[in-house]
Amino acid sequence: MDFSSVFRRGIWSAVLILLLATPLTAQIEDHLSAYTGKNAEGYLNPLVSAMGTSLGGGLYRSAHIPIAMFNIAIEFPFVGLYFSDEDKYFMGTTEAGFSPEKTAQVSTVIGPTDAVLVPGDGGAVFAFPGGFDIGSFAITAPQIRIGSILGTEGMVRFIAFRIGDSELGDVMLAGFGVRHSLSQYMGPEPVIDLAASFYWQTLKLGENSDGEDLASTTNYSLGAQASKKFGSILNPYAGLYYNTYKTDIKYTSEASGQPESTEISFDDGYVQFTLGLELNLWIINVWGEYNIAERQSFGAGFGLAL
Amino acid sequence: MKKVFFSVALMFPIVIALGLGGCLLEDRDVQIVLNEDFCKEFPEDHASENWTHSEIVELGEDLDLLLADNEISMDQIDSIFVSGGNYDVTEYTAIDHDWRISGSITIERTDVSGSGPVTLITYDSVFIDAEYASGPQTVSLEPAGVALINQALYEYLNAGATPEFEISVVNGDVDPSPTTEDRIVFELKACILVQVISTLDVEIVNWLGGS
Repeated sequence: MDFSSVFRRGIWSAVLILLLATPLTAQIEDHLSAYTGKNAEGYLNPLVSAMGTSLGGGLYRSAHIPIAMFNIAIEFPFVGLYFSDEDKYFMGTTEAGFSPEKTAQVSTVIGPTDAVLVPGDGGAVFAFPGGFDIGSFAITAPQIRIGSILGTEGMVRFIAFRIGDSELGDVMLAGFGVRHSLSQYMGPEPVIDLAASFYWQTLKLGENSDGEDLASTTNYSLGAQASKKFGSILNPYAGLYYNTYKTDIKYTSEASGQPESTEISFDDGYVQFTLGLELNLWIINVWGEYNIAERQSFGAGFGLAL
Repeated sequence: MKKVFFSVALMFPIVIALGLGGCLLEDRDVQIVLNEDFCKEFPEDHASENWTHSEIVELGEDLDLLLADNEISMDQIDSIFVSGGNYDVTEYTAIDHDWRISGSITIERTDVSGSGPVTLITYDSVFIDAEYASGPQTVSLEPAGVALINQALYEYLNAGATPEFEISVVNGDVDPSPTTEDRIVFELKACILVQVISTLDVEIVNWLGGS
């Protein structure tokens, strides 16, 4: 295998790492096509919720921001979560054309792979599609942190790939955040470091049969961090955030047997509490954290700092 | 120094990616559901209560197109079956009174001999004006009609059959009775809904495990 093919394989794998546990988006639209909006919402809800939750993790660690000093860091955070058994199923309703209308416990996108069959009048049968049998979700994206002026630093995330005919479709994750030191106002030797933050991100996945984004998510995070350095290495930290996300899914439904453009939206806001520990090892920082919210997640990562 | 720093930094994800790229993917056999409706329009213009209007549905050829459009081969199909039916009044010009019709929709296989018509749908006291532009109406299907179609679908999937049906509207009653001066004119669209369950082999990333 020559270097160029190895490199391409690495790039493709890096994209997969970016969207760990994200099902192939073209396959998602195949499943969605069997559903109109209400069933599609139930089918996708666990994955959408996981995406929105994961984007709110792994953003910040140490609350220490120098008042004025050039510093730059490249970071590779990883945020993951496990789905619960409740996430695997939703109450689906048979679509128009089937008689009589019935509800049944059926697979979500992360649920069992088998279709669920419901009997109807005269021997007719209605089938709900299976899921992808996924137990976990993870996401990562490189970010660059630059500071600081007047105790303020900025952070940028960006990755975009046009996969062309790949079943993964187009992928784009972009984000921008700012953080301001509050402990600079607490005297020359504050007991702990404090900072306030704001972050915006957008994630676009895949392409539907109309050539538009299959899924797009916008996430906002407003929060505060506290940390205390012990010696030169140990840096435990905590954070309290209010995160919101809005996800739009556009696909072609064929539930009636004829194609119909369908759009569904999800939006949610939640409070997240983060506890973590960072180790500063010369120019390399490594960390692990746990995020407590309506959906628990954990994070880890490393960074190179100057 | 900066060039070295960024080069080293960028190597990390690529190194991890190269090392783990082959380990991240898991196979899944996932059942998807394709929906298709097979419809026929029945334009009607009558001066009597009783009429029979027949159309041909080339079910086998339509299924071939469905599978080709979705790039699904026969060996990927688990089952095909009837999932429902509906009718819709798609053309009608309002007059000073409504029409109420009763009758049945029958089906008969024309690709095999010895198959007589069986009832698929029975409609009773349907008001044409009220149904017009109200959208497709879900109907309860008759067992004999469903069984005939499902048998044909089974033979399509397992015996290489190319089923073809004659679908007929057999109207038995109109209130008020139409006359040569007061003809009943409308168009009825009848549809059979079929679902195809197919198993696709997909690769997903499930790095943290669990299922």
